[in-house]
Amino acid sequence: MSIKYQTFDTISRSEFSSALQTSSLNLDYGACRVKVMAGGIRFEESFKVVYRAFRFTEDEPFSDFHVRLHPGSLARRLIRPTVHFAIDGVHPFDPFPLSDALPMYEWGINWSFAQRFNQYVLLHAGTLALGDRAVIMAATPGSGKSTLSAALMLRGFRLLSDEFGVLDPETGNLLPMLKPVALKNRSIDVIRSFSDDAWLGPTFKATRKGDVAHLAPDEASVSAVRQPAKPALVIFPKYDLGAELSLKPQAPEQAFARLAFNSFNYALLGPISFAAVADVAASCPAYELRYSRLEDAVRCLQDLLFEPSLTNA
Amino acid sequence: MHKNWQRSLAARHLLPLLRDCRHALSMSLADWDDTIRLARQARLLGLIAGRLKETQDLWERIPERVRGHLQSSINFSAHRLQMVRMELRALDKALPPTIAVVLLKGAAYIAQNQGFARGRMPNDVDLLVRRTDLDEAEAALAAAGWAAETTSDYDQRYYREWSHELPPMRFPGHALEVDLHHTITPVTSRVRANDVLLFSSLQAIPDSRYFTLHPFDQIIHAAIHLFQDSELAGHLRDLVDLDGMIRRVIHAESDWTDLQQRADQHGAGRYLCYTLRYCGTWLGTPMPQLITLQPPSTFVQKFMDMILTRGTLPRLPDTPPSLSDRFALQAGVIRYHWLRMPLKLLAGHLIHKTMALIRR
Amino acid sequence: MIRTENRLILRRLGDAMVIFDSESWESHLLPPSATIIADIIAELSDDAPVSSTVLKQVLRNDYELDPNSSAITDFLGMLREIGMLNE
Repeated sequence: MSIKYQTFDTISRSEFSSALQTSSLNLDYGACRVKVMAGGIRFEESFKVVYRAFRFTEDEPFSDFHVRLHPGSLARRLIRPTVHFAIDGVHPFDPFPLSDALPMYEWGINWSFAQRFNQYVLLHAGTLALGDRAVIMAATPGSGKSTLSAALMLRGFRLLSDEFGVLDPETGNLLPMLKPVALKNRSIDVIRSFSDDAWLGPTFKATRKGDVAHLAPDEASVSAVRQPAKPALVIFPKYDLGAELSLKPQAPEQAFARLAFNSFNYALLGPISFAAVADVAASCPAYELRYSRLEDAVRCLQDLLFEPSLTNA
Repeated sequence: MHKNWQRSLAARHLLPLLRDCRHALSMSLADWDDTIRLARQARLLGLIAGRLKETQDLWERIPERVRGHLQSSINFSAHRLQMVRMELRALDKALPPTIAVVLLKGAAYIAQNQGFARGRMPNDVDLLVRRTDLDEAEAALAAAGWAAETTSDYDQRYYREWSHELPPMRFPGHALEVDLHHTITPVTSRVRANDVLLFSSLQAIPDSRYFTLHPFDQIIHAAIHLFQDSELAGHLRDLVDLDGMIRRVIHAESDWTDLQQRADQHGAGRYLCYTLRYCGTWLGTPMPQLITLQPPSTFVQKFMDMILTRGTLPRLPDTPPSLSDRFALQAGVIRYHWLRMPLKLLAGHLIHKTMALIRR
Repeated sequence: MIRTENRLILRRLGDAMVIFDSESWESHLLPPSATIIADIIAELSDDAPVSSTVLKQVLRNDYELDPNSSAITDFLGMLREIGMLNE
């Protein structure tokens, strides 16, 4: 018998608003569970779209962070309304315009996670899976990893995260840190036309990162938010307009070095991250993937991930 | 002692956990939610994590998600400790071997491998040299690449003339600041430690050119620092250090007597009395039956109790401090300045600071 | 995994090697060509750092490599720095 639960899509706006006021809004990202208080911010509409498949729960005894968004001072509100992000009473950044509350929230959660979750090796990568086999896509400049992550999810891959490769050094598994995928500038339209199933939140114009819109994680990814996956493939994507699709194998020590460079806390974890990243490099084939058409890249990765017994000598 | 502190959130689980880590076995997930936040606030998460981890059957019974936060702070702290070791190695190369260099506070506890030093997240390294060696030490560090962080001439002058330390120095790119002291209390403070006594009782650290203070002097230094410092908030950590040091070196009745005498020689008898009071009540530090220290007047005692309880015990960050809490914090700040500087100097200093704030 | 004097952790990755120096917390990469020399050192080692005189002899006599070539000298310098080689 399945237990009926509410999602952000199905709950009423007033229920949602009241939860935000009283700090009983809980979000389960997989590796991390957040409690949010956000009275007077008025981002319910956009939130409900980008978190549509997430479960709405009011009872959560233990949260990994306690986050509060609040408007700026009364006087300021008249001149230029702002929104402030606080985690456990600390305000790590300057305020954003009130209209940019959702991007600020997303950015704030990513920042807080990278700061506090040093029990895991945090690779800077998009991670997706077919079954329990995961691909790690390192987030180098010009990789287009967010767009590629979005496309892969829309073509049936389970999305773990478009930003973090959360590697558990004790098990070698990857954990989800499942959040709306932040798409920038041209990618927004590309993904909108890539699939009819793409649920996009509003476009925030000219934020610090250009135009930003968020793609909602799909139901399949959300329901698997507590499931780990085993790293099976490492990819260094390179978006190259007009280029033919090409796949260049990377030697394991190359993969090691590139993964270590593309991580949030490699240096911090010392011997722990050395061993964990070496394990991934030793057990997963690695490729540099040059692509210009998303469909080609998706098909290529499907083939690579399906190939049985891919091992590195 | 005022029973007010028993009503604080910290008293529910954080203090019991510090007294006996097996208290963890009776904590629910919701209890941990508050306690992790308070411990983080008080900079004690790493210490608690370390204690829990070294008790195998205890660690495994802690809820997995809670363990994650604890492990994270252990990992973070391990990195910080590595940075301290590297900074000490670099400083060793830069400072002439003829200068006796004493490690203070965190750096000392780490170098001595003190149990209570685990889980620390130091931001600086505190060194002490003789006044006569100060100029040479400073010049050596500057020549090797360390640079002073404070730029204003006024601040430079304040540090050199009135304080007990030079402006903090940092090697470019290093995460840790270096604070070079020539005595352990500000030149102008009411309670001045006895420098001659300090330097005559230094202890060598095996396989190292560094020294530490005599264990009793370490306790007294920590007590003076704790009660003369402005930021009473966040000093629960310092009380935990004191508890650790006392348990380590004070065993017999005669040790207590010697400690008291030593404190009196430094003019810090009252601070030792305060220390024992709070350590005993909050952390269960073993105490002698008879304390022959001069107790302060009842009024002063009640005042201190109020400041300490309100200011020192961590609170959940989302609840803004009440009016009486804010008064307590403010009272602590005023008291700090009063202890450090004669009134005339204080006025000038505070005015200058205010002007700087306004200009910004 | 191999530990050298308890200071270095070595991991073989394909034909190459990655090294973690637990004193400095730095990670090093040894490309395949250099790994051969590291293997030679491991053979000669016996749990203590190898003398570079001995190593140079072995390279010259047994492997016909010129130990004074700039590439090898550079590499030996690095090994000395990370404690795998003694003067």
